[in-house]
Amino acid sequence: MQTTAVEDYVKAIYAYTEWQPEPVTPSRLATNLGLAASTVTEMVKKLSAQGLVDHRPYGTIALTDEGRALALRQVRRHRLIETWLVQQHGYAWDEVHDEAEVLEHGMSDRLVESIAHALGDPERDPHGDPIPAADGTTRQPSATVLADAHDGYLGTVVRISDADPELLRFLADQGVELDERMRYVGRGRFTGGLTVEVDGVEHTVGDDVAASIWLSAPCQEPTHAHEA
Amino acid sequence: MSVQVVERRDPAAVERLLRSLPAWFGIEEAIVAYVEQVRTASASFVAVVDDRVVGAALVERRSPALVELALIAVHAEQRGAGIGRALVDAAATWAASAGAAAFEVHTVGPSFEDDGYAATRAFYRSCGFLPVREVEGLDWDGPTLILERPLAVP
Repeated sequence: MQTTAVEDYVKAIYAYTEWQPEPVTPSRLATNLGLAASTVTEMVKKLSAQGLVDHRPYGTIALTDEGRALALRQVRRHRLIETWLVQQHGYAWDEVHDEAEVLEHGMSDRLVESIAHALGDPERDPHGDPIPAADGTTRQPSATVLADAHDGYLGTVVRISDADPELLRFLADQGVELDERMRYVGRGRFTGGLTVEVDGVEHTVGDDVAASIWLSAPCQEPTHAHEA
Repeated sequence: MSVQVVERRDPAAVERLLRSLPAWFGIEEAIVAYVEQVRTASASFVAVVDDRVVGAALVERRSPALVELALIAVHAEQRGAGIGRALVDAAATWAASAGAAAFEVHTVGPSFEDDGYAATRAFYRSCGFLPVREVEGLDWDGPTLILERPLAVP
């Protein structure tokens, strides 16, 4: 049985590289978790002594096989609970993170698996993050963050970062949801914002939004022949 | 066995040495950068035994008063034979004749537990380097120990 802190750290280390390639270092982890660098350094030392992470001199932090298994278990719990709260308890997608943070440490495996079964073993959470299977396997959808898309890129929204609940509320108000088709029109020359098109309506969004939305591989343009 | 230290730039030999020491030089980009630095460093030394390069050192002039030992490596199979010490002495002699007052080296600080770097710190101390201070986040995202060896003013 691991402590809550250990479970949260391995989860954060796993999540850090889930959608972007930059490796984790103690100071990046500290920024990410809103903690002092010295706190994180001490904890990484403990995780390393427990064989959960590998941190070599001059190197970055990597999960060991054991650490990754623990992280995937914790990520599965967190995302299943978020899905359960949205689907069966009327929570909005911006309200589930804090609740799941608490519940994921207290539920028995039996209850977690029972919830998974009742939900039909979902493969992603309300924000589009993949839910690892009970056997520790996971499928990462191929996706491009909106900030890196080229002008005219058309894809479906496959993931929206849940790091900022206010941003999630803003997007919900704009009608942006998972599986929605979104076209990246381009960057406004004078407005500084990015223009995207959803359902034929253009929206101008800021860099925060562009860094929080992931689009699928490019979609085929709908043609009139198909619509007829 | 007699060790000869000569001033020479030999990137291929340095690469071979670094790759024999994965516990100290396990990061690919770092190896590439060191090999590149062989051409640009203020001075480059190799230690030769029986016509074979068994060790190397690079120094960088950081300011008129300060020279840094930027790299030192002795082949994994030749450690403990005084080759490192001979390289340090040659580099220190170069620093003194270049007019520097201090000769400095950076390594992993003692607050980061690692057996290899504990041995490295002991080696530097035995070569006359004195620990000056530990700094967080200087050369990497962890503690760096700065050591200095005073140079005799000529």
